[in-house]
Amino acid sequence: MKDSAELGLNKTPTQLHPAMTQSMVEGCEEFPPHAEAMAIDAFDMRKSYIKDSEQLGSVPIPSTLRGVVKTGVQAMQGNSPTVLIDKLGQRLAFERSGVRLYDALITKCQAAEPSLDIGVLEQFRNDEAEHFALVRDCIIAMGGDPTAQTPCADSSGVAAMGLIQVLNDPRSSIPQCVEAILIAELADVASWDLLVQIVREANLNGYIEKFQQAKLTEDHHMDTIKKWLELLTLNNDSSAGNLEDAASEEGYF
Amino acid sequence: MALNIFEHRGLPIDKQHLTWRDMVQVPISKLDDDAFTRVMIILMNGIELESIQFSRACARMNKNLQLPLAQLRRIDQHQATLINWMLGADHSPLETTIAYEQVAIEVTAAVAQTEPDPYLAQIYRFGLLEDFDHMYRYSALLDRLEGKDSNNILQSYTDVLPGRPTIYEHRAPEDDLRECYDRNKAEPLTKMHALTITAGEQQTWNYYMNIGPLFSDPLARQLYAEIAHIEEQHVTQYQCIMDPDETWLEKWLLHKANEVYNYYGCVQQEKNSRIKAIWERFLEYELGQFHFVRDIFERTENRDSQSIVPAILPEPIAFESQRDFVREVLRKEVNLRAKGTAFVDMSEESEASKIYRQRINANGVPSEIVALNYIWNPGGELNNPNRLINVNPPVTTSHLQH
Repeated sequence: MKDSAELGLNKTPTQLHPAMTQSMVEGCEEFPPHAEAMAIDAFDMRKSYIKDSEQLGSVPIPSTLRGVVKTGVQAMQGNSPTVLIDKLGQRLAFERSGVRLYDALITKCQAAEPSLDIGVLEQFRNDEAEHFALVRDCIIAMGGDPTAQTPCADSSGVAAMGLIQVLNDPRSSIPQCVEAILIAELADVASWDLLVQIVREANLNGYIEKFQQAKLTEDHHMDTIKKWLELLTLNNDSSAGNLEDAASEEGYF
Repeated sequence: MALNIFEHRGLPIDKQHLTWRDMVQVPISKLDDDAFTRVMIILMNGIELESIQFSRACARMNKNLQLPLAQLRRIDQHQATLINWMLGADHSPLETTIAYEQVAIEVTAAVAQTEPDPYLAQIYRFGLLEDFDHMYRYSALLDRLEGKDSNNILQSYTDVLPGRPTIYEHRAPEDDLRECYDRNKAEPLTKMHALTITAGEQQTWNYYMNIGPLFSDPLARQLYAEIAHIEEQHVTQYQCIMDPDETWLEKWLLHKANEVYNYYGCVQQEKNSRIKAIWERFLEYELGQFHFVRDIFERTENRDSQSIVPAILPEPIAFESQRDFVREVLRKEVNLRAKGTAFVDMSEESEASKIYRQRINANGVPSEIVALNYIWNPGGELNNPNRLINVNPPVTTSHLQH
C-alpha cells in the first residue's frame, strides 16, 4: 500500500473532455431552468418538517431507584439531569466505537508496510476501551443502564459512520485513515472537556478527577495523531532517515 | 462480430461455482474507471435481478420447473452479487443514483435508435425524456445537499438539463399501460430491448425504494418518494410491452438469451481488462444456462428453440454518449403526454391523469423545489463566478410550452 496517491488517469476533471463539457454548458443556454410550481420553496418545506418533527428519541430513565438514591441523587437534582445521562451515554458509545476505529487502523497497518508504531496504536485502542469502562461504571453508579442508546449517542454514531467507512475500506491509505482517526480524536477531546464540566456541575465528585485524566489522555492521542498526519503528509517524499528521526520522538516509523 | 448462441455451449451449470472471495472483489475506481464501466455494471446487475424476479414468479406458477429454476436462480444470485459489489463504498447513495440515471438515459437512448418497431421506439423516447429530467433533479440535490458535482460521475458523457418536468410525469394508472409486441411477429431485437429496459427500470425502482429512507433531509426523502413513483410507472409501462401470450418457458428462454446478448455487449465494449474478464466469465456462464433452459424448453414444449431465439444474436447495445439524439428528442417530444396506450400532445392529455396529478402534488412538488433555478456548472453551481449576480427569477408556467 502506498501512503500517497499517484498521478494517474483520474477521469473526473472536465478538462479531460473539453468538447463534451463545452457542449454541456451550451445546452444549459438552450434548455434553461424553469419553474412549474412555486407554492413552496426548499426553506419553507424543510421548515415545516423541522417544526413538526419529533426528537430522535428520549433519554432513558435510570433503571434502579437504589442507584439514584446512593450516587446519582445530586446529579438527578442538578440543572440538567437528562443532559448528564445523554452525554454519558454518548461518550460511552463513542469510546466503544473508538476502539473499533483503532482496531481497523491496526489491521490496516499490520497488513501493509509498517508506517505507524502499532504498539502506540494498541495503547490508544486500550485507552479508548478503558474510557468506555470508566463511563460505563459511572452510568451504573448513577443507577443508569449502560446498554441503553441515548439520543446523543445515536447522533454521534450517525456522524461517525463516514469514519468507519474510510477506516475499513481496503483502498484507503494510511494517511487517509489517520485523518479519519484525527476527526474522531478532535471530537473526543472537546467532548471530554465538556463532560468534565457537566459532572462538575452535577457534583459527581468521584468522577471529576477520573474524567479529567481521561481528557488528558485524549489530548495526548489527538496531539500524536495530528503530528503523525503532518509527518505522513509533509514528509511524504522525504528520505527514510528524516522520518526515522522524527519517528523516534513521535512513535512513527 | 455477432455471436452464434447455438454454436457456443458455454460452461455447464454444474461447473458454475463462485466463492465468497469470487463474489466480493476489488471494486472499480469511482475516480479512474470510465463512466461506462459503471454503466455496464449497473445494467448487468439489473439484468440479473430481473432474471431472479422472473424465476421466482415462474416457480410459483410451475411446480414441475421449481428445481431447475432454483438451480439457475442460485447462480444468478452469485452473479448479481459479484456485479453489484463492484461498486465501491465511496459512492454515496446519491452518487450511485446519478449513475443509475446515466444508465437509464444512455441505454434507453441507444435502444430507441435501433428498435425496429416504431411504436415501441416511441415508448422508449417517451420514457427517456422522463429519466433525463430525473438526472437534472438528482444533480441539483447532489449539488445542494452534499456539495458535489454530478459530472464527477457522468464524466461529461451525459447532459444535466431539464427534460419532461417530473411534475408532469405522474399519470393515472390507465395512462401508463402500453400495447405489447406480437410474439410471433416481433424481431428478436425487440424482445431483447423490452427485457433489458424493463430490467433496468425495475432495479432502479427497487434501489430508490431502498435508499430513499437512508436520507435525513426531508426534501431528499420526498424526491426519492416522487421519482420512485415514476419508476413504478415506468416498470408498468415497459412490462406491458412483452407479449403476455408467451409461455413461461418461452419467457425463461428469452431471459437467458437476453443475458447472453447483454454480457456479449459488455465483453465487446469494456475497456478495463479486469472487468472484461468478469464479463467473459459470465458470458460463458450464461451460454451454459441458455443451453440448460433450451433443453428443458425443447423437451417440454416440443418446439425448436430457434423459433424463439435466432442463432445469430442482434448487434449489442452501444455503450456511448447519446447526447445529440437525446437533445433532438427533447426538442421535438418534450410536450408529449400519454393517454391510454397512445401518445398525444399535452393539450389532449387525459382528465384522469390531470386529476391524479392535482391530488398527488397538492402539498408541493419536491422535484420542483429541489431544482429551483438550478443550472449545471462544471464543479457545481457554487463554482460559477457569475452565480451571485445571475439569480434570475424562474420563468413561470405561463411562459412555457410545457
